[in-house]
Amino acid sequence: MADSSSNSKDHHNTRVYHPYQDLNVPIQKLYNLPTAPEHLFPEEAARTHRSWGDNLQYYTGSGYLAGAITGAARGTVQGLREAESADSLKIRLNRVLNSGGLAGRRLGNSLGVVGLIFAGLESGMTHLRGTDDLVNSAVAGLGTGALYRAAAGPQSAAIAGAIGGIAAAAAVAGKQALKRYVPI
Amino acid sequence: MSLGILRSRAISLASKRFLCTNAASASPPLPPPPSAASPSRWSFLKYALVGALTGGTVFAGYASYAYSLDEIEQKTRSLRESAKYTAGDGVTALDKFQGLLYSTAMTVPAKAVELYLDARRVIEEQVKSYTEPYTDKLLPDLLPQEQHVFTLVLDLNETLIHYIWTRDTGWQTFKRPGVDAFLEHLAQFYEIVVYTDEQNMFVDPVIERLDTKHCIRYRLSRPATKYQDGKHFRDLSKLNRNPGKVLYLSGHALESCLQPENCLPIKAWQQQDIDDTALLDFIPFLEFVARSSPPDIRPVLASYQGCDIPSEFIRRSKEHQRRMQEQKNRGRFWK
Repeated sequence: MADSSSNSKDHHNTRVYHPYQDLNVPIQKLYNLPTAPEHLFPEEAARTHRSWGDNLQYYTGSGYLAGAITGAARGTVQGLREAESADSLKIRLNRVLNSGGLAGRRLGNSLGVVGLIFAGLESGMTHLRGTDDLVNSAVAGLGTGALYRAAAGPQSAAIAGAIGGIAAAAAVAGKQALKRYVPI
Repeated sequence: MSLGILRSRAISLASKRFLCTNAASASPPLPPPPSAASPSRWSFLKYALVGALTGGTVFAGYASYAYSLDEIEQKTRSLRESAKYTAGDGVTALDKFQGLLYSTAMTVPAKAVELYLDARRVIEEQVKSYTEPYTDKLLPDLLPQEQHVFTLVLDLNETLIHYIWTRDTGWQTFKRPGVDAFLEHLAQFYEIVVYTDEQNMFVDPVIERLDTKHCIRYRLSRPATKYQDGKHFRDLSKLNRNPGKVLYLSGHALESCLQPENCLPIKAWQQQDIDDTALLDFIPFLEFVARSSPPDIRPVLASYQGCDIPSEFIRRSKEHQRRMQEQKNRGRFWK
């Protein structure tokens, strides 16, 4: 038997069970039962972080969505503020929609690109270093900022890299503090 | 001119514009409305047609709800046959004319009924291809030397495995305690079939992981089930096996099978119940059934109805042993 007691493998997390113990029959079959829930797919249980594909979709999608909402809100307020007293309702509405849509798309695209670069760099760092911790996120943030501002010159890239690294480290530290102190 | 009217109505500043508005309102009246005679006639015909179609639709809906296809076919046979009139010999011209008139009048309802029957037959055949198992013989024939072998049909979810989704860990699939030993031990006595209402793409990887020693001979998934009243039922009569030698073991046995007399209810398992021993507790009963090999398992299962089968089996075995011991003692007393 695969699970019988004669097999001396991995006895440390099992207990012995005898289904014939209430019957006075000479059948002696002992089975090892697990003491914890047993996974059918061990790779499901061994997974400790999102895969690179999940990371890519998550960071890009949430970045674009956050940027689009924030940009649209800001553009709407700006469009409302620019309204003239002589404008009719149609012209005012048209200006608000144009301003909101334009700003939303612009900021959404920017944050989506930032999320894409960050996800790629973080997954690459996790793959290279073989571990998932704060250093990965900080270095990925630094690389993201530098890459995003690379075309604007080395000084601007350095400043953006520093801002990105600090922001990523603060985000990870904030998330860990949130998990520890906020009872969710 | 209309723009001026709108402006004057909106602003109404100068009396000059007001006079313009007043002048516009003094225009001659509209021409008189046309005669209502001909629209009334067409309107009546239109409403009659709409009423007839609505009545026909409502009647067809009620017939679909209340009667099956064969019942409607029987009830309307006389109506449909009355539309085909053949003049017999010796009838008078007046009778022939009356028959012809009656069959002509009955042609439209007969054609409508036939159209309805054809449409309903086509639709029901389409639906049946989704709700019925894909064949009447879900398993191949038994080998000649295995005609005495019992077939053990197992469910999958909450019987052998349990899967759960949480947003922290995603999908996780757990094995019931003792499932490896259960399958390996009972494969010596039974033909083991997994019959589940999950999809193929879920069943195949699960059984490849669950059954590394190939104890399970056949896998049947959702296309093999019968969809009825919003649920997928197992139809054990289509397994191509002797119905007296089929056992269905499931955590939801009685409510997921069309033959409850072949069911072995087991406690439904979830992953937090780590002390569960129900699968291993079934091994003595199932081994006893396989060794004693009754000609029909259904009376045996009927005698266990409503009980927890493993504990009831143990109780009966103890009682049987006690009775055998008493017989031995009585024999010794006579000597």
